Amino acid sequence: MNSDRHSHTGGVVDRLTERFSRSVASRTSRRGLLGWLGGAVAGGALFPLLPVARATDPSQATGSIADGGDSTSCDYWRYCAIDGFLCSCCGGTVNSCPPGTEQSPVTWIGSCLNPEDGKKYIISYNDCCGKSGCGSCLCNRNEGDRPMYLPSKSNDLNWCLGTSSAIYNCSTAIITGLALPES
Amino acid sequence: MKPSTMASALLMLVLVASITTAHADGIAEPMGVIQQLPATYPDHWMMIQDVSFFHMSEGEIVVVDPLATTQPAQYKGMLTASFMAAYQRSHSRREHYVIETFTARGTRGGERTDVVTIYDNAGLKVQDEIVIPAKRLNGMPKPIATGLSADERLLMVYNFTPAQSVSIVDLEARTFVDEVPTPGCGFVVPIGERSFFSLCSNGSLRTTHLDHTGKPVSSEQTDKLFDADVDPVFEAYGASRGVAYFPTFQGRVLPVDIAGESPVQGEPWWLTEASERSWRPAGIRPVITDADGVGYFLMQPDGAEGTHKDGGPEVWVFDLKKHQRMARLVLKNRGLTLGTSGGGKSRLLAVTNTEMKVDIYRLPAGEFVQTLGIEAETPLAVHGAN
Repeated sequence: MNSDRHSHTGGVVDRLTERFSRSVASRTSRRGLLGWLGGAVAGGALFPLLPVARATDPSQATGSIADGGDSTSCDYWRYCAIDGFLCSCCGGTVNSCPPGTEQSPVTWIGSCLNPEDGKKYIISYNDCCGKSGCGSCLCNRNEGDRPMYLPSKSNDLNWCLGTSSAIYNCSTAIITGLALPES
Repeated sequence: MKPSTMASALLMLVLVASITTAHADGIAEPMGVIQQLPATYPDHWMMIQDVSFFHMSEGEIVVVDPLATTQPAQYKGMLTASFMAAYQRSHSRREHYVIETFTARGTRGGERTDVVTIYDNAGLKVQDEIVIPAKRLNGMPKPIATGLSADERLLMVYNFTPAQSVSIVDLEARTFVDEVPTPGCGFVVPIGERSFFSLCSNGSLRTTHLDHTGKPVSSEQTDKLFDADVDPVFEAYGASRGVAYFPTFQGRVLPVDIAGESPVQGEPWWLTEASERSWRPAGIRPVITDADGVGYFLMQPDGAEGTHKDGGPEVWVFDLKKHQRMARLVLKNRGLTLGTSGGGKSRLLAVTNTEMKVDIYRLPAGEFVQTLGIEAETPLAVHGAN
């Protein structure tokens, strides 16, 4: 397997050579997705209710935030809980799907720390569907990931479910808002 | 007749004449020969599943002799397994079951059809196909995505749409029987003769009881047995002597008695001493067990939030009844998932390593045997013949 082609893990992740398995997981562990509609679950203090609704509501746009970093790198802050091919490497962007694909309306969410402003944001990892796997920039990070029986926090699932096609192509990482402070 | 057509005809005559001559010489080899496997596999054989993560519709399950010393001798045959398939097999009927997904337009989708494809052991030919609801879980391979009843008659298939349910299939009658809702709970762990439980997001177990035909007759739910957010159990267990052992992210073991029709929780125990809590189970399938009450856990030394899929460099061996560590096996290559097969002196441990190769060790000592020569993209599940 050609890791250069399949895995794009720069910076911090690459320095953790001891953890090659992460890059392995990065190349192998499923892809990820997300959780269950409206999946806010007890115990996830940082997760607001109904993340999908928030993700699709333009009034919830976060406006301008400090958002530095390379969105084609697995180290990019928004990817803290992603598992899949980065749409940024597949003809889309961090928050849009490649041409000709269809974005899944249901997702799972992560809560990632933005190093630019020190705040945590809710990230919705919507899949893009309808074409076979992109094959580039597979990235797997598992901060907050939980088993599939807790789907709102599991990135091992294929979430091309609410779409006309079940075929997975790549994953986006869309900011849906600020995470609530931990109580 | 055109010159080119005449030339072709002459060439054909020459070929026929050659074949006739060869037969006459007694050196011609027979054509159309297809290999067969034994109907009952040797105990130590394995089925190595390549989920083909980068080409999900082209998954495959390779029948392997892991003790053969060359790749050609290791590779016995292959089953196709489309779109992150699940797998089961029946010893009594000598069959393989591939629970897989097809789409009408292949790599771009179209109408989805989920099926249980049935192969015979010897010929590896499709014997039958049972269409099931197009809802089966699609995701990373987990050993509890499907299950078989104790008598191997009923197959249970976990569905996720994201509504959660379980499809029941009668493998003897070759029919889909029913779909059982399991709201808030996922996966299937067969227990007793005609029941299964699912793992719930609130840390409880939901048990469904079936009648002899596979129809659901009742259900029940336990109290909370674990914290699914703070210290969840993996979607994998090892069973020995009627008890299922579930490792948790932080390194405990949750024993559940599965001999009866309802699960009975045992007392959780730690794999680690208080001074070594950074060692944690990790991997896709981090546990296997044997019939003698011994458990093998894939462990990593630097466990922390988010490392539960990283696999590890050691396998820790435990007496499951005494909760005592018997040995630490240092792997030749860091492992991502475990499998096993065989018995007695041929009890084997299979470890898919981080280079996507499968390493074979002999148990219980953990003697490294070899790295298999089987070429696979992502061989993330190993199923034993025994």
